[in-house]
Amino acid sequence: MIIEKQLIQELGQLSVLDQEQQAIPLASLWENQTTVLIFVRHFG
Amino acid sequence: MICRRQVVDIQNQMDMFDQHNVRVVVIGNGTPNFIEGFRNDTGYTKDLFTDPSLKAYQLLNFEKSVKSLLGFKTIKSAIHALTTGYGQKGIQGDAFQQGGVVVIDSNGNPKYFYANNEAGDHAPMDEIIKACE
Repeated sequence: MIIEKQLIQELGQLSVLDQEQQAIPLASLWENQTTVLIFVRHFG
Repeated sequence: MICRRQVVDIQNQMDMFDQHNVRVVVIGNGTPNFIEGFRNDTGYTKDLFTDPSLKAYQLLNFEKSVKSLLGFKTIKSAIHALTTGYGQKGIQGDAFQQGGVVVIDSNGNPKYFYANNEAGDHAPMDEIIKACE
């Protein structure tokens, strides 16, 4: 299963929070190198 | 139970990811103040963020249903997690939210996508590694 590049562009416009509650744009995570994003179900 | 186990598995492969200059990012959906505890529990050393809004999960269409928690694999994985010391210590985040894995290259091209079908199901490590080569 593969997804469209357009979906990655939309994903990149969203942000996640770091430990200090700072918003980090998702696109910044993969701008310099291949990145593995692991979405876990919860912090359980 | 299972997400901890998967993160420990990833951590065990970190040398390989480092050698390939691949960045590893774990994203949860609890509150930011849960990040440190998760790091301590898993020994995970790389980037760790959270998406309490679940917007990224929703965009990627990761399943969210009660049904997804009740599969056979869930039970099997729960036993594995409990017997290896990675049982669920208390859920932080949305218990019905599933996860998955996305590998993206520096040009924003998707190299791999895997949506978990049920609790306990996650992307095979060899598939993730292959997508990074």
